Amino acid sequence: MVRGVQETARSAGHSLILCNSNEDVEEERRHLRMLLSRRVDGVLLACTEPLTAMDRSIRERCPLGLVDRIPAQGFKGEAVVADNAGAAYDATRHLIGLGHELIAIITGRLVLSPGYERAEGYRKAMQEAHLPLRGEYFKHGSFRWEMGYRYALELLGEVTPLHGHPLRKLCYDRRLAEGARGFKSPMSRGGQCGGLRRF
Amino acid sequence: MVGFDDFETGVEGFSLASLFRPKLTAVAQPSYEMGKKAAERLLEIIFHSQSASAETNERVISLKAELRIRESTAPPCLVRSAVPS
Repeated sequence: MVRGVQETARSAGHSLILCNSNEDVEEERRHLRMLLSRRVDGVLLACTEPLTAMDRSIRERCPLGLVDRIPAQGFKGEAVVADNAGAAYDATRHLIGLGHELIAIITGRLVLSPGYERAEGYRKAMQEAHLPLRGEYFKHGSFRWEMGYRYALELLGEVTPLHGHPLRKLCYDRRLAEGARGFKSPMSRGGQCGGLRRF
Repeated sequence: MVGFDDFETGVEGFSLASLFRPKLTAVAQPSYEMGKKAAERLLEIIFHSQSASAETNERVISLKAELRIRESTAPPCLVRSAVPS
């Protein structure tokens, strides 16, 4: 994503100043204050917090575009995002099409569009197939990879011993998926049994 | 398991998900495109509408993210009793 921004900016004679706030809202605010005080021509923001994105005082001071994430509700402004709902719907349909019924989801914070829309796409596909939506199969909260790992452990603990059914898991966000991959499934002894086979 | 892969780049065809064994079924995020489009829109605003109010620049562009089916997804185990407990 950064490369896409940088190459486009460079071809228009602009330079890119990159700030990473690492999901820390204080860091994000500090970066924004610094960029505004240095009178940048414009800001692209992949926001950590919906409030930052909705803050009109930033937009009044310089052109602001959002990228990748927008607040899940009530956002008005300029943004370029991915169709997370459509992608989550397709992914869930794929698992349903293979014959899975117990499908869990690990997604990020529901106040931001990727977390919220992926949950919505999943929900829509499950409802269309008349599959149950269970609270314990719906894990959300953060985009950090440790959370993906923790949630995946919880899901395996909850699902495999209790029901003995195969579990297919949707892990949304690369960091969450990496976390979920970081351990072996207790059902990894061979055969296509656990959703986490051989990771 | 299905993941979202934001290392997938349409330009070079590189994907992190395909480096794993089994290769991971994943949604290819249009990351490069997202960055490119966002920068283009921002540059347009910077160049052309300095006098316009913020309200005239309110558009959410949504790019398609594609599901790439690889090896990490398969039908359920048919013989459940064969699963070691």
